[in-house]
Amino acid sequence: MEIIVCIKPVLDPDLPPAKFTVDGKKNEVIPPEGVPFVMSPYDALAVEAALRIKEAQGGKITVLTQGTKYAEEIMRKALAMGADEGVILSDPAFEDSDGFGTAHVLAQTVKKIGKFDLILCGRQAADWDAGVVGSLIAEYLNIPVVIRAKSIEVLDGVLKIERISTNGSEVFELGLPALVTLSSEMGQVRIPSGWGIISAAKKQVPKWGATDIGTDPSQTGAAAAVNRLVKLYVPVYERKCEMVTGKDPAEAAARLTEKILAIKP
Amino acid sequence: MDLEFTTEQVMFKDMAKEFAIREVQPYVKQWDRDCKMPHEVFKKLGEQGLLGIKAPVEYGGLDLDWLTLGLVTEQLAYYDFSLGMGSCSRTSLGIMPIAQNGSAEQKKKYLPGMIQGVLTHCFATVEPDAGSDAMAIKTTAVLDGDEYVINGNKTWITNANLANYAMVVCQTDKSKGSKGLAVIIVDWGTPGFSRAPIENKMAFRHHDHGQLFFRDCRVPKTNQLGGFGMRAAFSNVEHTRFGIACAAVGAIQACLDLSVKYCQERIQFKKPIGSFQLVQEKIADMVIDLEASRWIAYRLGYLKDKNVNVAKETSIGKYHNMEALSRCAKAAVELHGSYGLSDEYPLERIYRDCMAPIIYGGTAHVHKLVLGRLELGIDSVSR
Repeated sequence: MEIIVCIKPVLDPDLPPAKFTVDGKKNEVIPPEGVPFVMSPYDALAVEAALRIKEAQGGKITVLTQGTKYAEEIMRKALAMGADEGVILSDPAFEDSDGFGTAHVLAQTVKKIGKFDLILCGRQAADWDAGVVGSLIAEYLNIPVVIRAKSIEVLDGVLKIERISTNGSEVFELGLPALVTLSSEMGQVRIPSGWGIISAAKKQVPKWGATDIGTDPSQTGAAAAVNRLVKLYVPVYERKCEMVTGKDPAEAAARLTEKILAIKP
Repeated sequence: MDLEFTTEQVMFKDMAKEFAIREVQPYVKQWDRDCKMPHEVFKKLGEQGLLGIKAPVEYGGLDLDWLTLGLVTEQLAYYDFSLGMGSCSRTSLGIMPIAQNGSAEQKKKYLPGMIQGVLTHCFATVEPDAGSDAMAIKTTAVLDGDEYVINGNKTWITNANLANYAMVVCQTDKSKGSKGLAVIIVDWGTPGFSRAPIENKMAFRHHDHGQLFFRDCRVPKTNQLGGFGMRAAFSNVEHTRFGIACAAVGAIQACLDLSVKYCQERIQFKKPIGSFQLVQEKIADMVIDLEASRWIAYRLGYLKDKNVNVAKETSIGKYHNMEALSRCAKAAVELHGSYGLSDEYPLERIYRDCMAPIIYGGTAHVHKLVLGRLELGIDSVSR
């Protein structure tokens, strides 16, 4: 089983809100000093899912990540968790790509690798939460995709996936190759062991650029972005406390209900 | 001194932090309340490789550097000062004495289990009448044929009631003074070896401490660990002091982080209390204590990895960092007002816990005497 996992460095979602700031003029997040980026937690689930499949039936896990800053750190973590190989995709042409551009870069990389059975991604990146890259990679590669999986098994060459839905879950079976995005309902991600870290620190991680994977310049970078960010700001939340009273609990509840129903979304 | 951390060191630091957030932080308050913690925690530390950082590869260890162990200890101590200490002392006083002085049989018997966290050691030096004065040890080990016969009592021994084996500092020949001291391994279950817990402690409440009793306890002569003399008995105590210095850094960082957050959020007189100059002074003092302690600890690790004599730096690290922690823990409790007195915040626990390593690992007074002797060339202790 040849598994490819796509991961992304993001600003730590557990960052204290006070440290999160944006540059409203440039529409950019200002990374706080001294706070390293981390692997997007949903992508860590994808690595975990790949490891569980490999443990059950063997295989090889190749991890892909795009970017320069922090890409190597999260790649080393994936390798320490137990992935076999990694490739960092780094080229000025890739910078400021949106989800479409990123998916193009990743799909081209998968084509260069050639042999694969399964591609795993997080359901969305924990920074912008767009959740489109996985589906777009599948589209570019013309393979089936299931998003928001909570469990994944491979039985006799068939994927059995339980994915979360609005009202519960749905079970799918599909052939390989395929792409699956993982959701947090999958469970806990392993912490790399000391032995994994020692092994990962020694591994060579190649960097591939645009010419290595043959990306189309018209599909990557800021100029190719389909989405345009109009305004980036930190919303201001105001809290107002109003005590609702009544001569008895029933009257207080009735008044509260009236107030709730009067709130216009 | 180049203190740029390697990729590996940074990854170990991050891994220890992740482990502590998942396996320690959610439970430590209850452990402290219950005065016990599950042994499973040490097995999990072993599975992560965190108990084998300095252990030989051939027994399942990782054989890494002291600085890595220090960084890991700091991270664990950020969430539970006592666990940071307890984890590190499994290396310093559990694994290192056997890895450095043990026979092939002893290494094979004890090291794999220690590295995996399934075996627990205790290192027994202190006696009712022998604390700082290790030369006053009265526990005897008398050779009788191929066996040592051990008699005596030990007290305030960490892991006394959990240990699968005790490394017992004994006097084998009083006429030889310090040259008669030896460490002898006694497995739990050996006839003549009994133990009792010490309860209702102020600090390190979820860690075991107790007394050991030896009454005509016979062990094979081959259970002796290394040779004779002070060096054979106490060569690994320095490693424990390094662990204390590093754990203190983690706990000071925790005191500072909690205090900064609280002082930014707590409003009094219509302003965050962090806007008051006297509060800022306390924060500034904590920052200075933290930075000084951190660099003292890291430099000590760096020097240990160079295999140079670090007696002076070890005493500075142990003394300074624990004094700094006690200042910072007190300041942090004060800044939190009444909330600081409650275990809603971990500060009262840190404040209590920091008293333990102020006393053990060589008291503050002992380390000042060591530094005085090293600088003056005059030993203050005459016998």
